[in-house]
Amino acid sequence: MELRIKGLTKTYANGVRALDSVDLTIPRGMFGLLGPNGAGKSTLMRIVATLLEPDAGQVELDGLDVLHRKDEVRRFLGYLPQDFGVYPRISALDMLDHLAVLKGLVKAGERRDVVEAMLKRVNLWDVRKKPLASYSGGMRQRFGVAQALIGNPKLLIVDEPTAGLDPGERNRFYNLLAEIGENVVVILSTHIVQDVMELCANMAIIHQGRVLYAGSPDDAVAALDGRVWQRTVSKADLPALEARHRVISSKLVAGRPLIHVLGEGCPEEGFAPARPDLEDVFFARIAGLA
Amino acid sequence: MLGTIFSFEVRYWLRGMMLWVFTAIVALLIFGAASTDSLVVGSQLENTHRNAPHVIQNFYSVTSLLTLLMITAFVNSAAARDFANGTWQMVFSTPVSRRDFLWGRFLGSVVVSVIPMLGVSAGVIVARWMPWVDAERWGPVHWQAHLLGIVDFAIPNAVFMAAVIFTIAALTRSTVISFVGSIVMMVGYGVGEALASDIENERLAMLLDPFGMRTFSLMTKYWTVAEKNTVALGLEGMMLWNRLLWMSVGAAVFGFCCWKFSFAERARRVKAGAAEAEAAPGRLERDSRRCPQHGVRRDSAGGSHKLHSQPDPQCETRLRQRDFSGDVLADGHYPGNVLPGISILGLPDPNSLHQRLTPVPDLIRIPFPRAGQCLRMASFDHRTKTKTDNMPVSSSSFDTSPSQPPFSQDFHLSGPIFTPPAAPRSAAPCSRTAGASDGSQPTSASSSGRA
Repeated sequence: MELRIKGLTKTYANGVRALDSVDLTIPRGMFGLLGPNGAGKSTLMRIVATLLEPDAGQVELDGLDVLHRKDEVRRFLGYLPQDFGVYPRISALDMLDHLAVLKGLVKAGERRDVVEAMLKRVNLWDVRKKPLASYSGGMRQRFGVAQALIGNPKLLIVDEPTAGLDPGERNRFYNLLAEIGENVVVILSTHIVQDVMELCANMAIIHQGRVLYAGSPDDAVAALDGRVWQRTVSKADLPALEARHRVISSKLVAGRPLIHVLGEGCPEEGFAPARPDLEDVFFARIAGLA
Repeated sequence: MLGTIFSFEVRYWLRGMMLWVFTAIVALLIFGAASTDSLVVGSQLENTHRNAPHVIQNFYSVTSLLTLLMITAFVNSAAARDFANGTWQMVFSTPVSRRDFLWGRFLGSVVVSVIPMLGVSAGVIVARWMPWVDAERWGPVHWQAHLLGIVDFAIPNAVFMAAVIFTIAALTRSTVISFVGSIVMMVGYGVGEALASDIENERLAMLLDPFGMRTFSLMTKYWTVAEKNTVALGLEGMMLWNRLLWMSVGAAVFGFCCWKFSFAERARRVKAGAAEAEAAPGRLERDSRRCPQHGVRRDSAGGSHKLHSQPDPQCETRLRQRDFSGDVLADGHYPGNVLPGISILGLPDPNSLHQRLTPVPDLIRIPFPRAGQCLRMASFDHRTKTKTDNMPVSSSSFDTSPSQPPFSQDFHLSGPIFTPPAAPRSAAPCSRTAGASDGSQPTSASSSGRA
């Protein structure tokens, strides 16, 4: 089970090049697609989810041409869109039942069991008869997961799944994904580094439609070993330091900026070695430093 | 698959309020028209039984057009619900075939569209038992007329209207455009009626009415009162050909929809561009914890690092995917909008002089002054011709009860001086009609038409 993407290119009508010759090989398991907003993650995922036509390129799943045999792909596809709505005045139970029909679960008895099990799995069973429109963001997201998982997908695409979830809900969601991620291809797009660190054995960093890195998170972090330096500075010094050094990131710790700098040796007096993490990788790659 | 999508569609509406509100509106209108003379739907009741088969079928023929805007609500939703509510990505990534999806939704919405028309039968049947009606003018319940009203008018007209509206809504993915389309259809019908009234060839005229109203009135114009009281027009002769023709047109339109409709995304989405603009550096926000270069920020509570503050996904969805004008026409809010719309329907009825469908006719004409004028002229013209033709044979139609002024004669007299529909608008027919029909209750057609 392997998804191969070759030379995928997509330019929108307004001239934005969302994907620029993207090549990726995505093995079984959780695959994290990391990138800032507007990087092209959602475009890539919508193409793989058969909803969008690329300008050029190929997508293959175990030899199956995803772009031209959409109906077959949809039979084992689970897709959680980045943002989705619900029908007005309809309960979670009815909506999920309807989507299960569309997914091909035509037999009523079988479908009822599947829907019930799925609602229990995402912890919505108690509120199944409430209108979906009244759900909180987290509940709605869990409903989205439930509809994506129905029908035992072999290819699961979840676009920014943790957006709007509180930390507790995010953890529950991670567990749910980790459970199913062992046997199927799961593509998870996110702009939250933590998601990838906790979940994914493989990842790609994508920015402005290009793949900047593809591989395992550990390898990426190891490549920065001994090259990241940190220092707490004052706000006034920040512009000067940014001009002199390859600053990866600056974030406030207790109100004062803590900057991470990339350098083969100690950049200057006052810097201390820092243990690199995936976030450093992310920002270094995006800034074109590493 | 098709069956379950169909039944979902039907159940979706059966559970909601809107369908029953619409059905009740139709039933009330017809109830009022059947039980009293102060409300007129279609044409003023003649001296037949008030529940004569002819009357029932006439109600059915008029109601089809009356419910056009109601049907638009159901069909719009069935065709464009996934675009209006932002569920299309979930729905269209399922293996459901386009054929099952479109046919299931379409047939479901057709069945739902027929239900409000059944209010005609309910209204007529209930009206009989009101204490104020004159029992002598009521015959036994003529079930065949109810059935044939449904077969001749309700179902074929629902199929035709639904096919057109569904196709517009599904292909444009916009409920607003299809709503406009249904209004255009209504106005266009009135204009078409005006043009068709010039057609010398009756068979052609009978064939060309997409709702079968003219077909019905022409086919029954020589009927005696006794016939109107006892015979219901079946699906026969020109009526059959008319229905076949317009069902075929509907089928062709829907076939086009099936051919063109695509689950794939439209190119017009500019999401990436919008997102990129937001990600551009230098955009400062109130959040002082953000780094100006990369937009890093530390979420002190959760300890996670994000690019930018997380936008509220629901809010984003609304902004990006919903057009709010569509909201106005969407499910919940519809009845409030459709009610004034229904009153427009007082205009385009071809059989009536008394266009007093609602007690507030002035409300009607404000949005469509020109169309209203046009439609009203069409109505008068058509009626006049029919009546003129009618005169020598069916003298019985002039026997009117004392409570009703013999306005039909007036039609006849005024007939020859009517100008063709294309002529400049003249208030003369209106004022004449108003005076002739009921002196104490002018129709206000002429005055508001000029306003």
